[in-house]
Amino acid sequence: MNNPLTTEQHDSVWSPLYQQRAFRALMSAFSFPGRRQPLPLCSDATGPTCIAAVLCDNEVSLADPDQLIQPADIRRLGIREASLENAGFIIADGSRAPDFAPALGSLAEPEQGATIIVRVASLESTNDFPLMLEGPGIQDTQALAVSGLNRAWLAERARWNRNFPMGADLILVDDTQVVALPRTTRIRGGTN
Amino acid sequence: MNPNYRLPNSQDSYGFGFLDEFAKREIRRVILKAISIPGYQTPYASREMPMGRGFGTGGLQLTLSMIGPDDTLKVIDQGSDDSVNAVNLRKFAELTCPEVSTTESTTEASLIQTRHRVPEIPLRENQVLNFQVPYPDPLVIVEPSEAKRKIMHGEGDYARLLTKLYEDLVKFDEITISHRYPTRINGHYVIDPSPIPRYDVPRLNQSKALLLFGAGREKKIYAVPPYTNADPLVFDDVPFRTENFYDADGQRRACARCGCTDSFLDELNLEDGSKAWQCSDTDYCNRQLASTEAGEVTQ
Ligand SMILES: [Zn+2]
Repeated sequence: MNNPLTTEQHDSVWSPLYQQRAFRALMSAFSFPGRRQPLPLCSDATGPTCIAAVLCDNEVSLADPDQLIQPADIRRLGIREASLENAGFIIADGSRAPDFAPALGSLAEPEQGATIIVRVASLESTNDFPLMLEGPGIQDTQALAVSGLNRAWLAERARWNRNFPMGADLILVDDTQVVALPRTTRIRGGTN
Repeated sequence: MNPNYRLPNSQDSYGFGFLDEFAKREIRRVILKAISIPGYQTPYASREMPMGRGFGTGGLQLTLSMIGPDDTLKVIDQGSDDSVNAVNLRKFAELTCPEVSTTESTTEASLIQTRHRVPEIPLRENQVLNFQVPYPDPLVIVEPSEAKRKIMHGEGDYARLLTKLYEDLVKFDEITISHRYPTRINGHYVIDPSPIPRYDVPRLNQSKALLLFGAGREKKIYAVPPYTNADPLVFDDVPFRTENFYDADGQRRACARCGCTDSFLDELNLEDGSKAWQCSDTDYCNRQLASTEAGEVTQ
């Protein structure tokens, strides 16, 4: 049921303190799209599971087609599994092209658009073909380097987000860091 | 809120931050969606708080859902840290969030909860401002049906709201809204920025800090992300004007306490029937006063 216990060690994803600190990293990530935010140190999970523990419980639905979260953790989250088209949260392997149509919400309820947690190999900065980002939360432009993100994600994401306010919001995550790409972020580059 | 408030015995086992972890998680999810859809009134299941709605429960729920032991919290009511309402909300946070520091200094705070003002000192990227909101929807004055308002918001259709403002303009020769000035966020949604004065509206534009708005009674959370356009609704031929505090001779009034001429002033009625003006932001006023006094000592 993802009921955090104060008896858990503070570096466990199941502790309230870990979830509070990781949420603040996520809130900063959404506030400043494209900027890498370190997740707090964690002893019992890596990136995708950390994000799920902060945001998911029995009140939301999840699709994990690539089985990136351990079955035991899925049970502990208490989350409802759903199809890719209906899930509130999707966890996906970024190295593969997305072949699904996520929920995008409606004019009256755009918040029903999915949150997609995309696992990538690394968010460490490289100078190889950085993406250039613009939009709310970005003062001028923001550069972003990602390894292990199939470029088809960029085209699909642009298609999902062409009718604001409908759209899907992405959280890129490697083992220890996170970058948010809310639906408002415009991305250039990424082709080589 | 009752100033002598104590946590009920049945809730002795409440966790850090009063709200249970499920309530916090829901608000956290909603905050991320609100940031992703700037200005959109994102619905959430507002929880019962041990104080009446209308006492800042929406802002308080935002604060409690994100606060942690690393934070320093400031609570202001119309710019003041010492008003009863601000003191009570601060006490509640101290009671339910042990380890959290509180402060009256804008620059020391990591989280600021506010009612009706934006602090005078510009905020930084690593600060968050949580507004208490009584009425979140600017379209209520032109459309009673929430379902229809949601569609109008989604389409960014504010023609009727603009017409209403225009009627005001024709009647009074200027837009007379003093507080809650309708403001368009990122060129799409129009928000009620809560009862801040017009003076504070330009501070929402391209803010370095995340601005979050919580309406507890109406169960809505909305956001103005950092570096995002926030434009007051205007007509081409009528510029948006903020309060200017000029006296009859066209002189900018000064604060009677600290002497500064660059802050939002509250009008005070003195016992002899005369009026005086004083900074509404008490931290700013204290800071000006301290630096003036320090200057006088060194001279
Ligand atoms: Zn003053």
